[in-house]
Amino acid sequence: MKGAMEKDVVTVRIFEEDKIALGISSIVGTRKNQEDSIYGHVEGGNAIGIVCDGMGGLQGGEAASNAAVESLAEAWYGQKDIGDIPEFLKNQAVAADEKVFYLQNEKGEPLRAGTTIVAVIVQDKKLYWLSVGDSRIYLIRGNEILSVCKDHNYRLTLDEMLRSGRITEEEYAKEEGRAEALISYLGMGDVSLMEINKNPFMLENRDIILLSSDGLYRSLSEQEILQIVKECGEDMQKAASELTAQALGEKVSGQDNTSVVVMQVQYS
Amino acid sequence: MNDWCPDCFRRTWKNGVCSSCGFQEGKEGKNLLRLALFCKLNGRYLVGRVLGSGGFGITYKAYDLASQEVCALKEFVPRGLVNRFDGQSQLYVTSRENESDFEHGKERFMEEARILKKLEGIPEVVTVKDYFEENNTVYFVMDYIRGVNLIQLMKVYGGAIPAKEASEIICRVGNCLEQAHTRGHIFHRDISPDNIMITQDGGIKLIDFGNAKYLVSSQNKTMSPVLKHGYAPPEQYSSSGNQGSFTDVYALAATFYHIVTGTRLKPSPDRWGDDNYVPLEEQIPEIPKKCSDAVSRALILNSRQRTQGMGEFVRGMQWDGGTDSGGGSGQAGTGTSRGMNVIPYVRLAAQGKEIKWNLAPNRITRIGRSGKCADIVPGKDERMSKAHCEIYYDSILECFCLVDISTNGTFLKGHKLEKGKIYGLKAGERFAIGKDIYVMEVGIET
Repeated sequence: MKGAMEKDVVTVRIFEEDKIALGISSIVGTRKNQEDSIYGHVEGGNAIGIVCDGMGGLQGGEAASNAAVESLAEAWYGQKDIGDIPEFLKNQAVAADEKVFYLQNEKGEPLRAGTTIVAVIVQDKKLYWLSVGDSRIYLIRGNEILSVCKDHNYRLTLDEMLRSGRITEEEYAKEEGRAEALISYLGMGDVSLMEINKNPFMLENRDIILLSSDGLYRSLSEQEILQIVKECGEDMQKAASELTAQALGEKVSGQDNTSVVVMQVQYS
Repeated sequence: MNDWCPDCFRRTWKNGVCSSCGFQEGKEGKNLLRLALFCKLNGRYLVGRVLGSGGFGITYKAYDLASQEVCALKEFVPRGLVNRFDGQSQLYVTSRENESDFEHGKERFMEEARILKKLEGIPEVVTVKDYFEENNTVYFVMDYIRGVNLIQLMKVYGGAIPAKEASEIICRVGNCLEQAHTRGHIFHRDISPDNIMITQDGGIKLIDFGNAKYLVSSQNKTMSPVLKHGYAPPEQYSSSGNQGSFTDVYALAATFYHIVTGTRLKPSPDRWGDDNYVPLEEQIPEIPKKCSDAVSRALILNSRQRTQGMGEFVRGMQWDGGTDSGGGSGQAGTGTSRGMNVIPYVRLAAQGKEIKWNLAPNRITRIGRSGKCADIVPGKDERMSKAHCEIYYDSILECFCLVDISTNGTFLKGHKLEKGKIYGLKAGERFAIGKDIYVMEVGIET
């Protein structure tokens, strides 16, 4: 509650609080292990959401995604006033990268695992994001859905090469089978390719922010995702559960771990 | 030109077939951008058949009228950017926007020629004989290598090359790359079995430095054209990936893995957690654990955790009597090379002492004060550096190659050698550690 004082007249004005509705869901799909880790937290008009998709065989992926989520969540939680949020996100990405790089197995050997990360911080109606890898952040406003970050995979490299004339269309087509290979992730030890918006995105009432691992968008098209979210109105938890359920429903086999964090801002 | 063969350039071409070499018309497939057959370049090179082409250029077989030798001619033709009209030699850039890309591309292309020129003296590297500009583009001329690449050699052996021979080949290539890395500050970036050739006289040639880049250049992070999946480490899939000597280390280890098992590794981005990686010692019992471990370490996906330097990899790969640190006088390792029947040696000729060290052909041997840093220790004089100079015997060129890496200098015929540069010596010649601290003589025994 905010108040204003005037001489000896106490005037208390009650502002409608900004609200953020949050929903999270994470499924194993048809895989043996859950290598995704997620986190979402709302405090007044501020929020954080994180989705990490780990890889590395046996327990490696799980350990990596866990470590990254914990690292960022603890840092956000522990700070009273972050200040420069993009700078904070960049530093935390580098810190998490180091942590994952140095993870060890029971024998004390390097775990050699990695993880993607998508994270958003909402503060005072401003949206900041971080992405390393091929998990995605979608913004939904009205009837429009938009993925805000580039996927850090081989396709990115191929597109650049095609554009600059280093490869032909035929060569591009030949390479497409490998296009999904990740080229940036936490755990490299020297991660440099990451998406962070320097300028905050100004949120409007009823904007929806959706974070997901690739399991979601490999099963559902953007229009399908938009439709499902809209059908759930203001119930973000329902939206999250519906999304993962439908992603699984799309495939009889071969459904990857799928995780989503979805939040809607409600401003008066 | 009607009776000239586009492949061997003998005048035995009739009805679309050469009666000397058997080359047939239509064998090479249509290449719309190629130069007209038998056009002349730089006043001396007759253009023959196409040997290969890629995103950057076309390599032709050519005949040097001046030296009367067959050679390989590489032309810069960036497919997305240029066109050539039928019957004409000029290359045209297809649009104004492409002009600057084309100019940059020409520069990069000529870098390969400059890189090879810089590596002159390393026996495994193809020699650049000439480079010039013509037809609005750039060309360079190299030796034409007659031989088979490792893919073809695998077929000859029925699917996989015997482990010992394979490891010798790989060590040879590794030594060559180490020199390129440390002396030329150049890394290859495209190592694979089809880029390694065994020549007719048993030598080894590393071809296609087209992807090579100067280590120190700020262009370090540029892209490479389409990758060799199965040999390219993860950092090559990204245009912002840091590449270095460790990039070649991975590719060379992956090449060894392939030629010795007959199976290519999975593309590196798919090798998460190494779950299905089977170490060589489990597949081929004759491979020693030390060698298998060296390969496994070189195949670590993370470039920071992987074996960093080629020298370290090669030392781990060596089978018998490898030159591990802690050497002294005596046999400096064995390793054999095809067609070898001489034993090169270096001896200390002074002060009534007669000490002789045999050298493993084609293997860099260090001379210095410290047993930890050098293979040959002629003495303990403080003025000699711990690692003073390097020497190796090139069995193809049949000469010794000497490089100074010292503080006080190495001297040849009274002249101080330029540090880092390769000098040739014939058997019987002498060089000195410092001006005259230790006088060494090289020779060969049959």
